[in-house]
Amino acid sequence: MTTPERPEKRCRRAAPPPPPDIPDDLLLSDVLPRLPVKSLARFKCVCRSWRAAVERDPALVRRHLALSRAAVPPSMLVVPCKEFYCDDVPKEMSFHRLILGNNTAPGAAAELVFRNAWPDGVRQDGAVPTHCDGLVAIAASGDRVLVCNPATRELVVLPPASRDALDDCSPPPVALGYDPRRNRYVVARCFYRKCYVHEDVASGEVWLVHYDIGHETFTLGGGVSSGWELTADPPHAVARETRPVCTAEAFYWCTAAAGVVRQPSNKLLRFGLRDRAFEVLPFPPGADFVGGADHLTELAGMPCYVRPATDTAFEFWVANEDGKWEWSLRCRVDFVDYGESVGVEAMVVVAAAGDEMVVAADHRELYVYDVRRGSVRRVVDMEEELEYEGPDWSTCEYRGDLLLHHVVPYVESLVSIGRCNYTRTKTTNK
Amino acid sequence: MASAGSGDEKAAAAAMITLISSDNEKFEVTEATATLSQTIRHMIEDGCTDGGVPLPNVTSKILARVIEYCKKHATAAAGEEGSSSSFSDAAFLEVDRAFLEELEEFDDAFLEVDRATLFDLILAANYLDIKGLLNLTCQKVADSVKGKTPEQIREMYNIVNDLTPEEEAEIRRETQWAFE
Repeated sequence: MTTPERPEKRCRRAAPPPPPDIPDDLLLSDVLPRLPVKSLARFKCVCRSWRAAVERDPALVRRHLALSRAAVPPSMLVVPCKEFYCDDVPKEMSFHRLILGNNTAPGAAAELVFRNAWPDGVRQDGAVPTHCDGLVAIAASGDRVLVCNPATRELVVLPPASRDALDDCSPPPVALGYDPRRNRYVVARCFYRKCYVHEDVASGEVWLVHYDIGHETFTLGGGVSSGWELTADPPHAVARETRPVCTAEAFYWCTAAAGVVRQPSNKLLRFGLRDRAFEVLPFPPGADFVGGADHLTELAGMPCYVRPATDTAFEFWVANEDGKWEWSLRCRVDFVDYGESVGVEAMVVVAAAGDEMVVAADHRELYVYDVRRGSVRRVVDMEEELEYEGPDWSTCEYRGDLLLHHVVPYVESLVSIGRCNYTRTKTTNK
Repeated sequence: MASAGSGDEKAAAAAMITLISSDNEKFEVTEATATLSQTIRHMIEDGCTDGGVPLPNVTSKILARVIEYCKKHATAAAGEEGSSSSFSDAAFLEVDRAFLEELEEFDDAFLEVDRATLFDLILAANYLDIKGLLNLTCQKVADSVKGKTPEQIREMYNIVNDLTPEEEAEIRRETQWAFE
């Protein structure tokens, strides 16, 4: 076999060293999936078979994903973001990875995974990011949705979605999940075709009077469709302020209290990823309003309802998705050592492994709760104490008014947004 | 079948299996130790372990190390049963922390081997289908290559670069960030 001379220097031995050596297939099947995405990106240069494996071997992509999911301790992604209607919106988006170990102390460092300018014409507007298998979806103004894999640096702005009539508030949040039937990642959003509200001048509260709401999905990875697809309309109005919860089986949206009623009352809408249909489900007993200090999040793959129990304590209820829909109380966390205002704005479970769960409170602080011990400790104040890695080994700060430190669970992956590299398909994408 | 299902718990627990290395050395191990290997577990289930299990792909030197690993981890596996963790299936997170630390120390020390032995262990773990050992050894290899350049990888693993200079230049342009 002859190989052309390369200009670069290489000191290859004349004869290969004697065995043992790792067979190529073991190297590809068992070693590569354990490497960080950055190493894998570099190793595309090793040879053709490595390049092919990293770019389009579904077995490698899935094994890598499975190992990433099982990594202990789990990682999180901090996405600093200005609140809606902030004039000086950042020109760049950045994704910082945070791994909380046993010894994480204030001053913990958040590794910069990816920093990029917001694409032309797409403006961040305070929307909450959602995560699935290494992909992050962020709703932007002008009915645009951005999907990014920070590890591979792939960034895709989806085609314009349906126009949302509520254009004087933050953009409709997007859900992101994996459709097990079509074997594709899917993005979903609710939008208002029409919406009339009544504002109570005395209380400042706003109620929906009439509305017409739609729901649409966008299937990533090509091969199926390349546009937004309307589904059945949600059976109720959906609250704009609450983030959707995305599990392996469904997206969950909270309804908005509709009609001019004084008694707030909302429900849980489940959009099944298999049947692509809505279902209305009850909240835990006695809980009926997400908003205020009640929050909807996800815990260990299950929808989780967080509800204030006392001035300082919260109950975490989870619903089992298999079989009968039933809520059960998972734990009760008392933040008494940290004052009364913890969790009033937001309470998001961002990691759960072993006996510990990590909770992001009020888009600012991270707490770790140990179930066995029943104890909670504040790990880091993301605004004051977290050291954000900046470009070229600098550090940067994310401080100031109207700044939200969004946190999502994070699983580093090779999953591609534009190409379906995670499942074997007969149809090619081009 | 002689051992399992006899009703005598002690007899079952003490059931011994003989493993025979490629150089014909015999190793007596408990069933609990041996069944960390899926390959051997299937053989036991099929009832074909009488007279010993010949392992023509594994030398006595490597088999001794593999058994050392399995003995330690069989104890760990027994300890894990009955424990549960609250938020994940990762039962290994539970158990008693001191024991986990001990196991970690054992694994670290176990991996203090030369490259040839490490590769032999990987081949044996793959052949015997011992998930934990394969994970451990492959992770060790992964850790040793993750910071390397493509040139170093080719050299370490005798890989011939069959990309054209143009192709390689293109990949480097696209993934320049990964070289920083």
